[in-house]
Amino acid sequence: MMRHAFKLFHVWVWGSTFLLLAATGTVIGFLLVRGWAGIGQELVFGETPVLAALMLQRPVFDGLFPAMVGTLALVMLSVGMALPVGLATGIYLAEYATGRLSSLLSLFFDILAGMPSIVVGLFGFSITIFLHHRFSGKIYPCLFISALSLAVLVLPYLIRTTQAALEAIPVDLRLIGPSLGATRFQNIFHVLVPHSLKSILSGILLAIGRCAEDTAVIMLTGVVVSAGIPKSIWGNFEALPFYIYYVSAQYTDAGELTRGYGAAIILLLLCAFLFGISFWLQHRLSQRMFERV
Amino acid sequence: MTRSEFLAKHGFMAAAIISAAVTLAIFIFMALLGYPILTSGRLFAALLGAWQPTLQSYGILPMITGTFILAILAVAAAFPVCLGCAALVSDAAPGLVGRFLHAVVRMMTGIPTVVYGFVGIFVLVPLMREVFGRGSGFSLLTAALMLALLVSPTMILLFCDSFRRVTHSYRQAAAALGATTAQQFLYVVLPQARNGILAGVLLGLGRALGDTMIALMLAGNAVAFPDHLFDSARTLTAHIALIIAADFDSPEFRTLFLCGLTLYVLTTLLVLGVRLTMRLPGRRP
Amino acid sequence: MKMNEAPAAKVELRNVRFDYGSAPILNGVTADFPAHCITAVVGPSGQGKTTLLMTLNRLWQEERPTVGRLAGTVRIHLNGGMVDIYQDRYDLTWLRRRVGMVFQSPNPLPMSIYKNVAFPLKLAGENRDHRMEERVQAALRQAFLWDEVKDRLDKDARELSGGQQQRLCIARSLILRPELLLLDEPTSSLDRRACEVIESLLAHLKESCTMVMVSHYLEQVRRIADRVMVMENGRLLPQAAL
Repeated sequence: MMRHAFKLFHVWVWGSTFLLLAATGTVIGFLLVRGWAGIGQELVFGETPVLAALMLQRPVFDGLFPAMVGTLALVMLSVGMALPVGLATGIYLAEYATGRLSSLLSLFFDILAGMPSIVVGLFGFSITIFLHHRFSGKIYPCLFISALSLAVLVLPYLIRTTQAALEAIPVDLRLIGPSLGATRFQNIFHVLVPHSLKSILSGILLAIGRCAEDTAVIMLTGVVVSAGIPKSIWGNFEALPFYIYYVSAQYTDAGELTRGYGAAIILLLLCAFLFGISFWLQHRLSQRMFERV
Repeated sequence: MTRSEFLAKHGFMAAAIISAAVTLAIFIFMALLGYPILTSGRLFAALLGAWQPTLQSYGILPMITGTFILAILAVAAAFPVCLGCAALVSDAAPGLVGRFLHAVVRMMTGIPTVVYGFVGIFVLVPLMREVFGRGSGFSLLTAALMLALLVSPTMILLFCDSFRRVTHSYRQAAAALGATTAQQFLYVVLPQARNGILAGVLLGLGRALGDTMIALMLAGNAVAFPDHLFDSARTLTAHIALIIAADFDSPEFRTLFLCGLTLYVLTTLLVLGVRLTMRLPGRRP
Repeated sequence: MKMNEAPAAKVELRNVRFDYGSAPILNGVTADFPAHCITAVVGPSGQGKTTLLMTLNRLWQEERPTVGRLAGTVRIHLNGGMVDIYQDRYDLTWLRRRVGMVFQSPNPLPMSIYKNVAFPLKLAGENRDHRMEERVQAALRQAFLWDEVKDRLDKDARELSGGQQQRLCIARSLILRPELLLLDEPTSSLDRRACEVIESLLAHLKESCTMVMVSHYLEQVRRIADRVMVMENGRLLPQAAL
């Protein structure tokens, strides 16, 4: 019986892999086949001339440009908010916290990491309600609240990668700074963090990707189907992933559907791009850090 | 300690406290806003009752059921495939091929769930309708299949990690005794990686429980208890997304926060479960 | 081998015990290391020689997590007087600027040669001093490395050979002019020629600082050490004759 098991082993492992790749390939392939024809200037800018749209002189109607700008604004705001807190927390966990405090904090962040995104969205929504009643009746779900909620979503990614990167530093590297009279902070700033830049950066890129692709959080905190370019952080906005969802549920004509495919392809390309940049940047930036002093 | 050292240490600590506070704040806000239901004495009715507005019953049990069935189905379907794939990537495939596949799987983790849902609607749903000829194609099974695809890359990477941690000397010993790749894997690696595999399954389960878009787009969203695999069902996550547009003071709305709390508690239990796998006898994952 | 001339003691260890929670590593070490001498500490590996060195600059307290425990007194003659370096109010960074350390494997930081040597100055806040270049040069000369690198100070330090890297690390630990230099088997990863250069520079350093060196090579010890101590069962015993 075992003998058959061993023969089947290779069938099993190669078969599983093939199945997985085929399924994923079908997903991607289907999008490309149906949507490739629609890719072009019109997909992004509709009828509006490119330059006018980019200079924000004329609004874009039947195009993805506003959604793309919305996604960009969202990503920059949320990562901007999450980065300092996440990085500092990761450093604290790796370099300052001891024993039980460290375990307890770790538990909290594991829970945060496993939190369903819709719950984070609900949290953002709750905050809006709270602010609406306590502070200003003019506060509604908006770009800021969405970005804040996304920041909460990606915070654990940043914490974890920073912490792991610092904890992976070999002991002999850790001791050089102190042996030369460096204070703990000097050691972190001049030796440990520069050494871990690659890993920290990869965590940041992961966070960026997560913000760009998330739908559940923004659905509850202010994204809409058509709002144009976001004019202020307290207003509504569009985003690519929500547009994709909306089209799938309520497309009215073939044109919209094609735009939906196009949006899906763009979002996919964006994610692939981020991974690619991750490897390239890791290499260049960490070298450049050492030239400063 | 100089002033800048003091500032640095307390600055970092403040950040950590903020991060921890956020985790707690989520729970607190859910509890605060769901307060009426929690204290109204109708908690059990809400948790364990069915959703029948005409009978004034706003129980979320159908959604809880939907969430569980969907997640378990998805992970069960994904498990053998993920295990096999991970075995290939870390053990059975020759060096370069293995590394290439590992990179491919890592890239796959970046595919957004809304994209899976989107393709699911236009490919999988009609397919299920044709092949099985029952219902509209929007069902638990459809969603479970797509969800399995979603959680697979994460599970594979976790399994790979735990395979790689199996002590090299054990593998070497087995190889020196003439064990084939298959035998090495089945006799040495797999048993040693037990805890890691369990952790991977739990994390996959967590991911499946917490997903919104696939459930929302593919599972049908009917509020009744699902009778069979081809039935339409609604999960807690989809429920939140659907009801959010309801009137603020309505009883339906209040159930949202109960759903949120339930999901929070489930997540916490899973995280604790994963931590427990670290304590189990056998190799640490 | 010089006879004991009873020079002033630079380091006084009294009944020092150290453990990591279980078996003791240092078990009542009592010794004096004289000033302006090279004291060699020899003995089988794993006996705690490196730990002994680290008690002198308190570097063991940088391990994460810190589980080591120390008892007994360690006093070093720094800045004009004998100091108990384990007093609570004693600033660690100040200590490590007066007590330098060279590790077994060269560990240059990923920076240029110049910046590596100047790094301690930056840490001490002394890099606004326009005499920085002079001090870097002086340190590199002391380490017998200046002539070999003076034309390529901005090249990455990791491009140097093993022996050169170790001399770079020595220069780096000398730039703040420490009174005590700790060396943990400084030449064990180097070939014989590189070894000889370093031994020679260490002998020259005696004028300006005191050295405690862990070594496995009895020949080396015979060549440059003024005093030899043997580490056995967690205790240090003087060994006058080799």
